[in-house]
Amino acid sequence: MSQRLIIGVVLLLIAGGIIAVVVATGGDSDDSDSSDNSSSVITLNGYIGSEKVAFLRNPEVVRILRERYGIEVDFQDLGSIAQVDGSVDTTEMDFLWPSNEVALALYEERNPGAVSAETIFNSPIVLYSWDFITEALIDQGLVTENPGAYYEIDMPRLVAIILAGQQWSEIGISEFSGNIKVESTDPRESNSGNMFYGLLANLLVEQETGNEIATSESIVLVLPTMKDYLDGLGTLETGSGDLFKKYITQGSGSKPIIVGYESQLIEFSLQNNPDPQLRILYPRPTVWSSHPLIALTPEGERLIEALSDPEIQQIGWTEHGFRSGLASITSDPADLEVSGIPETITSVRNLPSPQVMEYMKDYLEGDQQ
Amino acid sequence: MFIARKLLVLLLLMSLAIVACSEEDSDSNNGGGFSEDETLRIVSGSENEALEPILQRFARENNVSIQIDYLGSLDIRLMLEEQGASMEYDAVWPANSLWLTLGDTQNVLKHEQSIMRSPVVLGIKTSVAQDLGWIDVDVTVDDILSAAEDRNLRLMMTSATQSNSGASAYFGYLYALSGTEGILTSEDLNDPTLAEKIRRILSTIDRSSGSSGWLKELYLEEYENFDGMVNYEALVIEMNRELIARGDEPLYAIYPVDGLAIADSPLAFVDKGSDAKEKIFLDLQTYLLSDPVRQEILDLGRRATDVGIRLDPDQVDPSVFNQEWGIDVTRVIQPIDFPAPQVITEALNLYQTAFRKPSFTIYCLDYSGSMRGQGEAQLEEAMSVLLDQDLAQRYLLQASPRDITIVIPFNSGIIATWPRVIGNDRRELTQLMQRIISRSPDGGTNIYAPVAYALRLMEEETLEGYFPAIILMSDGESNEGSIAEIEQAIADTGLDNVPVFGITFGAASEAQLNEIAILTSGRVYDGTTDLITAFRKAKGNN
Repeated sequence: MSQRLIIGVVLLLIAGGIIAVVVATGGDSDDSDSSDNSSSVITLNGYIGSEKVAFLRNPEVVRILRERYGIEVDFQDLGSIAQVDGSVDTTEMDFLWPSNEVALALYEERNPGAVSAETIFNSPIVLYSWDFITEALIDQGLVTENPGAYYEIDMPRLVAIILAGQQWSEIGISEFSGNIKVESTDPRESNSGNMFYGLLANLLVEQETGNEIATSESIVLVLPTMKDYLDGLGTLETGSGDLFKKYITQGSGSKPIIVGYESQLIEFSLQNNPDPQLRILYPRPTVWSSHPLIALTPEGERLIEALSDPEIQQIGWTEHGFRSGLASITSDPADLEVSGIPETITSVRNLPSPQVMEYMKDYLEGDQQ
Repeated sequence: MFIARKLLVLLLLMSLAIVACSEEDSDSNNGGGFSEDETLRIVSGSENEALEPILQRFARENNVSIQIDYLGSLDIRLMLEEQGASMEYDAVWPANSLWLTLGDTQNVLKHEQSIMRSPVVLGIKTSVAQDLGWIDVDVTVDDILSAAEDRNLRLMMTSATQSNSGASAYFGYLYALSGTEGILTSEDLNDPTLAEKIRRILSTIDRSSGSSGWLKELYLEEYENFDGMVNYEALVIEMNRELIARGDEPLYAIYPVDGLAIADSPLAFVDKGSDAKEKIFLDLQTYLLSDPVRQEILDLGRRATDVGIRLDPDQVDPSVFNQEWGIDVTRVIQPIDFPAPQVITEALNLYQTAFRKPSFTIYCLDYSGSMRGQGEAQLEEAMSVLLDQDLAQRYLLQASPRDITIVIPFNSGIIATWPRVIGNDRRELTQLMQRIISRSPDGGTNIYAPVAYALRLMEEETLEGYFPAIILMSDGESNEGSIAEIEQAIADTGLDNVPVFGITFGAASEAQLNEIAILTSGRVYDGTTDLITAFRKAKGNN
């Protein structure tokens, strides 16, 4: 070994020692900076519906979770159905947080026994549209305006004019060409779309049979019509949050009527100036989207407890528009700054059973055009 | 002892990292000294280039490094689909969220947000628009087709299989010309009447390109030779500001009412598990969406709005969103709905193999002695991506039945004249590939002679109805010949509209290739680190 090389190695070792000291001190000062229970903070990984992203990123929610419960949440948004249908690997995850009970039921079916879950939030499925389109729909008698700028839309009639292929110009909207359409997320991948098609199935079955809820026998009658309509929509968004963002940013020409959650406009209006062009239309009847947190690990169960915190629940309602899923807590529209939000949702229909919903999804998936 | 060894390894790794950093520095605009966790690598569509100063300002203010590479939106889709979280970038920023919806099959994207919107328009010289009676009226795709044919308009548009603006216009044309009321279907695509019309409208395009940003640059250079270009409203605005500054007539924006698409520029994070990078990303995104920065973006001609795509004329700078340029901010834009994914793929393949104007491509490949070994192997791999039709299909670069492909191997002179391939016959293309593989490198370098020879070969054919291009790959300094040889060939043949795309490899002289590119309105691609991508980008131009 040459002398130069030896000196080089020695120098490297000295430098290494200095770096090691720096690294160690750096680590120490880091520890002293953070709060007392930081040593016990655990990071939980999970998939969530995209509509809950902003809620989980809310600094207050992050702070309460960390300080009161020692929890940090690392999440990725993924469609509710995709979370539970085995299409992604969930072995590394602590929790799933889809946006309906059907997803929970499907998960339980696939993984019997090992689940604890709690409905954290509820939000009705609504339609979003624009001022001038809403006016045209009022003129047609499809939409009624209730006191407090609360709009309701007659779903059976809306479905009828859509399936009849009525044009925008026929309801007095001459700026638009083509058929009237309601765009949802892809019902094969995302929750709000999936629930909307469940509602659609109920309404069509009711027309055919007079029964309010589609069954495994009666849904067969209406699936071809539903699939034709869906195939006529092209490439659809796969997340409810993404669709709502496009409704907001691309405007009425691109997204004249979309399907979403009630929570989305409340959340948007609090973070931006409430925009006079936007309209929230409550379908008569609608369906509830509930947000069950599915714990996959014991740590995941701690998150259920944490999210039931009354303060977190209140932030969920006033800042993100989620009605509480817990019996002990009420969500009061008077606490909101947006108008047009009813205290209770009066016309709610149950979805078809999870088995029927899954059958519907399989059928719609078949031979995608 | 064990610890000491670990430290030694650590230090060696660190010194390697420093070497790597300083190498990066030489060709990037970022200061050195940033760790991996302080670096955000973004792959973006070329139309966002005008916004880079804003991102670099954010980087400076926050003491982080942002590196941006520009790539076509369709390439970004492919990268996402094939590489997922193992891609080299931390964030993607294509022109249209459609490509993310289609590409993110591995669910690696997070925090997707549209930064701004811009419709795809036809920017046409104002005097031409006036002659056509297109000022302040609704223009349809059919109107554009007949005007382009009757008036022999010279138009530019990017390749639909390489760039989002070209793809958007192409789908707009398909919708309008098929006359469909609903969504475009596979049946529509196989309708001979539509095929005939779409071929006609695409044959009116006189110059193609692989990227929207460069198409605008090219048009600025060759302004007198073309009547208009298909591009984003934002790039028409950018171009007009430059045209006005140099005293040229501005373009007038036409919004084809039955075939409009909107670019929504989504910026999304590629989740590879780095919290530090995620924080930089989110801070950057918040910054770009903050009111003052949105105002800045608005002033660059991008629609960065709160709600909807319409702008309040009183709220925008009338010298940017200029009504006299046909920029119409109050128009209700009803864009086309993109069809189902399989129909999109089918339509793009049909564009490449059946509908587009055929290409006449001559590859001049360096077989000088220095190419021996690594160079030879990489060249063969790159050429097989273009000639092997199964590989080419992955990148939507397949040959069409009417394409002409010629390969000229050269060193200090022309080595051989290999038979040209007309069309997309797999056997002939494989044979050509076999010739490329069989030839061994040897001798010196003259990059001028093969280009001059290529021009003379093109002169023997009619270029009418083709996108011509010469792709010149070289790995060394040309020690023989001079640009005068090419100038002479252009003068002799009269072919002053054939772009030469240079590809650098090894110790190639970028200056020499640049000189040729400037002379011929071509461009130089850096193949020193990735020859395949350089060839793909070069070929994507025609």
